[in-house]
Amino acid sequence: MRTLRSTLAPAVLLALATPAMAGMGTTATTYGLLPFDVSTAQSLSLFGTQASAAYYNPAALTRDPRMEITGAIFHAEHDLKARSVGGSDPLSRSSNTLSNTPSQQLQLGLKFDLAKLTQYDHPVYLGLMVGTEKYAQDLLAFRAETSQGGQYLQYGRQPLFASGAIATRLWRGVHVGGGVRIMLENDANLYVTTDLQGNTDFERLTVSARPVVTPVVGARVQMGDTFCERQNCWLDGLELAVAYRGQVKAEVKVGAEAEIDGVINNPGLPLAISAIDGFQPATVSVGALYELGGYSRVGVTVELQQWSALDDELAKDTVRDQANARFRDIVIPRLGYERDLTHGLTMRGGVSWEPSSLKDNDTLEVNYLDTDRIVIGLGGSLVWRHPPVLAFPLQLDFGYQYHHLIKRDFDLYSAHPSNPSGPNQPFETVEASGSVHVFTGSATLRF
Amino acid sequence: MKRFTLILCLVAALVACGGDQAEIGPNPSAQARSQSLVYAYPAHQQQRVPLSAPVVLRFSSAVVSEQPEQIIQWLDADDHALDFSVTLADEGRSLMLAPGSRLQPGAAYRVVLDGLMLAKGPVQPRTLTFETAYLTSGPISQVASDSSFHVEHRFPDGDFFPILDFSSLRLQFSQPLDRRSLSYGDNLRLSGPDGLVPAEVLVSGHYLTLDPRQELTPGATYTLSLGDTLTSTLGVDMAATEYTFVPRSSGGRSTLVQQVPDANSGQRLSILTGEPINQVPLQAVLLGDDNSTQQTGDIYAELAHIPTFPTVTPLRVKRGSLLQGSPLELLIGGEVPAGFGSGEIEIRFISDAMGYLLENPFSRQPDAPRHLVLYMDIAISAQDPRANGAVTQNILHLQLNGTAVVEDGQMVINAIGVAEPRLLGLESARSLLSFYMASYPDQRNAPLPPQDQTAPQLLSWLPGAEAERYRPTDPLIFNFSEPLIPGSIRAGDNALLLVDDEPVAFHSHVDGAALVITPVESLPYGSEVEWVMFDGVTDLAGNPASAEIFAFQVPALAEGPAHAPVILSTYPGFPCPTQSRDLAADNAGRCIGGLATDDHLPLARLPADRLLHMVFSRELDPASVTPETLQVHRVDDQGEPLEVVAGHLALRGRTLTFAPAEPWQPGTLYRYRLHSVLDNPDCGVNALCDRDGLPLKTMVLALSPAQAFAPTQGGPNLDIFFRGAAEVTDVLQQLANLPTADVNANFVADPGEPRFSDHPDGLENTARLVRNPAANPLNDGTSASGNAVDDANVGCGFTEDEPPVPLVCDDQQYLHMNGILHADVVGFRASHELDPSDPTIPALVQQQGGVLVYIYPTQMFLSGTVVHVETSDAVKMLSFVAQPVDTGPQVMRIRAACDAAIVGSCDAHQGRIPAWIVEQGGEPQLLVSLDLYLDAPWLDPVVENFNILNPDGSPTLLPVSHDLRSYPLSLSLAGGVSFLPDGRLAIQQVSLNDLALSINLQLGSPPILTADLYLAIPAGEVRLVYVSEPVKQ
Repeated sequence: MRTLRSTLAPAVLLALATPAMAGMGTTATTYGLLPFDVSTAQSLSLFGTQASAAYYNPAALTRDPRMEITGAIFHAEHDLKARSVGGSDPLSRSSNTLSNTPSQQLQLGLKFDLAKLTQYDHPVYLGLMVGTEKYAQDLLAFRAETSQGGQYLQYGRQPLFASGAIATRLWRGVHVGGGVRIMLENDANLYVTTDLQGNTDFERLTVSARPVVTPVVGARVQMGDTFCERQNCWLDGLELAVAYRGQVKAEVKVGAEAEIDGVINNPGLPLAISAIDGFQPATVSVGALYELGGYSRVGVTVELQQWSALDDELAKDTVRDQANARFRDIVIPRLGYERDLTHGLTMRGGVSWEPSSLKDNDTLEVNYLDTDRIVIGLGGSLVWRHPPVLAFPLQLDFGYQYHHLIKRDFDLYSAHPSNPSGPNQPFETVEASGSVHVFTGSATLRF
Repeated sequence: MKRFTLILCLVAALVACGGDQAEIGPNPSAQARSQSLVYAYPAHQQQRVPLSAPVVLRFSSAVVSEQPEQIIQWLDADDHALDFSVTLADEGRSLMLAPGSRLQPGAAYRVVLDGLMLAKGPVQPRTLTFETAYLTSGPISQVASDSSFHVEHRFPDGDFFPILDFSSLRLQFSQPLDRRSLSYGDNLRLSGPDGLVPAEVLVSGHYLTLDPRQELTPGATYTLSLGDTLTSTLGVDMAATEYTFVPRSSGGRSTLVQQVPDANSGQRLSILTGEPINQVPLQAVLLGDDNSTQQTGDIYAELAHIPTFPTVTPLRVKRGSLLQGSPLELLIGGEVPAGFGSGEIEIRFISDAMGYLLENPFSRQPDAPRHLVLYMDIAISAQDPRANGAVTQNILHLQLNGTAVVEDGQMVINAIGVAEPRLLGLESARSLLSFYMASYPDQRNAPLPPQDQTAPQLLSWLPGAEAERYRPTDPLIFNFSEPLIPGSIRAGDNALLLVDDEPVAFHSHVDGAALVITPVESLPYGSEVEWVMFDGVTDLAGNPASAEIFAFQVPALAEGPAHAPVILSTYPGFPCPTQSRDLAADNAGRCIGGLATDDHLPLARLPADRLLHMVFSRELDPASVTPETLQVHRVDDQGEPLEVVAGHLALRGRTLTFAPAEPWQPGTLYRYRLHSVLDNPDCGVNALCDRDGLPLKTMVLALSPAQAFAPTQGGPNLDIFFRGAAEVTDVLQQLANLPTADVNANFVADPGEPRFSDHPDGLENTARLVRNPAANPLNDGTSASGNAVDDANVGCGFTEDEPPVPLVCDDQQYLHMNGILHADVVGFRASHELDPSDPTIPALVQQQGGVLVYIYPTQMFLSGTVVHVETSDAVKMLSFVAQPVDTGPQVMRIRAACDAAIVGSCDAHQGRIPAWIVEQGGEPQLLVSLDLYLDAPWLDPVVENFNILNPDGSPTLLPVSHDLRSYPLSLSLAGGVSFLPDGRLAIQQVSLNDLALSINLQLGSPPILTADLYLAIPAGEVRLVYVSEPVKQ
């Protein structure tokens, strides 16, 4: 028999708890997985050669025939601001920084040639990518809450990332690949009888976690290989790619039935919460890469993200249904450039413009903040041909990404009884702005 | 490497950017703007609020305003501000407003909160409205909310308050229901899928509770129908109505066991009122302001399934729940001990109490408590039989309003209810209940409900051993040790009322622990009455009362000469036709037939909400009581009628009451006229008559026997004037001289009526008239002087000896009294509040203080006797023969304490006689000094004159005049105040001084012979017993 009180008290939804850092985004969509993706602002990710291609465009797994193992470390430093502009009942804020919780990932990627296991020669590549939050201390980083102070829609701790895909060359320069992204759906059920002091009895608890998968498919066409295989033409160096990623989210359902002696029994007080986090919209990416003279490459990618599906998902979410949040599909253009320098050093950079998917400037009780962003990436990689201990060259990548959040004003609404303004009038207006600095580094062994 | 280091430094620099994460707190003014009222009694828009209710307000933080009584406004329907005082409780978080004057019945009030400051901020402005309850008896506008008789409120109504399978139904009417017109199954029906639903029906005044014996079936359709044979006490029939509803299922129920703790000797105070918790105070003039009984017990509340009814959660407390209370000390006027305590007081739920937990209507803050509304019907009973008779009653529709919140693992309910229990059937006490209940933390091991396995015991019954005090329209009252189930008495089945062995119809109802049986036809005089109770009459738990037969005999009406009914008392005013009035000077004149030197009566005052009372010596014929024979008018200073005052006449036995349509206006002159004629009355048109058709004898005094009306004659119209006055808190009592031997009220000691020789201990309500030789100035052992009479004797004559010796005849010397008194109990006056120079206040009262009682002047009747005289030799020589003198009925008028003809003499007590109840030897005593006028209007001494004979040979009569008119007497009375076993007050009074009567006779016109007779009523020979009305009607 334990007192429920001690566990319930911090879980009570105090409206003014620590500013929430729930991330509707995921590492892969918000920042980028490996330093290659981070430093190019995902503009060249459709054409990536590393294991992260298993997520961005499985067909790109065939770009480099070598197998590889990659380990990456990722640190995103957030400086997300909410500056109070005024209002009928503004909250007291000690500073303008709404949140500076970092995201700290540890990632592991693997790429195999499955054909090596078989008697066949035709290569079939398998790519796996796994990322964990807080340097593997937090596998489930899930948070769903209302917030009176405001909370950013994207950014924050990210849930577990797991993706896998296989790819192969179909014909000439046409490569295809497909895989899945896995997220978890968790179910917890509690039955308890308690007295009014919280002394529980007859407890029954079941928790289960189910994987939910969403497909990732991609195709890549090396134009030169496809259309002018035998001779050179202007299409050499041009590569087109298209990828589709399905919609997926992490979900937690909590059901509880509490019978209180003398007050409620048969059946007990039913509590049911269903919430989502880490939403990945259905995304179609179309990109083109052009190789300039063998040393540099320039690429452009256009992404269509179907955020509007989040409307229905949040309407089913117990925590956020009151917000009536509406989202729009967004188109993200990305531009990137890569240049090989001497001695195995390659520099790359990219820029992308990411509009905000949040339509409204007010979401009741949940108070989402989301702005348009300019993302600038910079990075490079260094190949260490003869590293100690290892038999194969080691490639070290580093990447830096800067997000500049364009200022946008939001009205905060709350139906909490302690809000004197009531639910129909904004109690405060805040200006959302800020910046994010992302630092990543990885080590890749190709063999 | 260099580049690498550069990048690292850049990284470090960038990481240092950005400020510290903000700490976000609520807006500092948010808490200040969310301060509000969290609880109020009465609840907003509450109806039928008791008149003595205070207003209790509780806020979200303590009140810091210096003078809240200046800021809060309490307004009536005309926007006049009421005066009130404020007390703080719970360190300022709760306020109790007590009005300076009593609230008006049926009136709307508003309490406006605006500008009050609390510790955490200003209160959000709010206005509370409520309506007060109506009276059950009084001016019609204060009794009836509407001229039609209909249902005004239903609880639950099926809309906001859902009706569930375990619900009991409560109806509130626009006028008080006459319970004798109710017959469940006929004009009140609850029908469901299986037909008529067996139910207990409780009725009191405007309130009715219908408690089904079994739970209703959820989802089935039920119909509650009221027929048009239901009548109000004002005689209005109900318009037939029907209500249809479908009860909902209460789902999985939980029983919450709550403890009602005691106040730990007054230490634990209610957070709402600041009074000790669970103490039921009784504030009354009769019992005093400091009395309270501490209640303790356990309450078992059944909650419906809360998740199914989250905003309005029904609950019920089952019938039979019991709270035990500490004994009450019964002190008359709060100071004079009544001589006995009440024993344990029990409060029992006689029906399922229905309640609802509601969201806080004033504040949505998460810490604002939920509200509880609970309607209950309770029965109060006391262990001591006499206290039980005085106090036991049902209180219906007691509404508790409170807060419910979970604190430290206990559901704590603080609630307020106001009850107005009737004490002795006379006064509505004020009782503010500060309830506190806390649930047991361990509900699984909470105490189980006590099982009542004791059968109800009979403690006393009326008339019981007091059959001589019984009058035919009185009910039979059986006081048990605990309440019975009213429906368990089935007339003709397990209960029979037999009159001379024939079953008769009766109404029965249970009031508290008293079973009241009212025969439909009043019991005939002299009949043998038996009340037979078989098995099956049970208490609330089903324990049967033992089968018994109760028998008594109604006092017989002896055969004797008929006498028209006379008026024993009128309130207000004196029951005699008057002359020489000066109404503008508050002079009501003097009685016609008295001497011109009589006191003038002061003009009576009638408080605005009181009824007119008229009590007669015999029962009136109900058909003769009409708006033509009893008229009330508003009059001018000359007494001329200006407009008719409409109202409701009610006749019960010998008492006639008139309730005006509107309260009397203070300062306005009114007149009521009782019509009568001398002979050949047209009963109901020009005269009030008794059941034998004899007209009301309105005038009894006469200046000479020739002017005196014959026994069966009536009299002229009787006009009584009065002035309206403001309401008072005094308690009006109607006291009857019971038992009296003269049951047939013909003022003659008929054979068959009780005589002294049958009751050697003494008869009650008698005065013994004897000869008084000590008063004779001749001092010769005779009780007569003068030249006409040698001696006189009362009741019998003299022996043949020389000198003649008076015979002894006790029986004939006792005069039987017939009277009714009205008195006002004012309250205790401490010694320092009394004027030490006032000679009317007895010494004992000056020392100790006493309870002041005002007695209203009225007339009492003494039966006649025969005075035998021994005539003198002179008379014998003159051939005059004196027959024994029949005094005829004698009238004793209680004189007012002042003479209205003398300006200003009536200012002190307005003519009422002050009497005092003091403690003497641990017992309460009533002390009073009365001034009386004695009249013998029919005293007509017969002296035969054999000198002058009539043609037929019979002697002519010598005219004899006497002076027994307006004969002044002063009577000092004292005696104990006690309570009969059935709870009625009994006041014994014995005279402390001798009353000497010297009657002067003049024989002949012009007088040729005179005589003075010396009679007396010795000290201790006036023995009066006054008994109050039966506690239950």
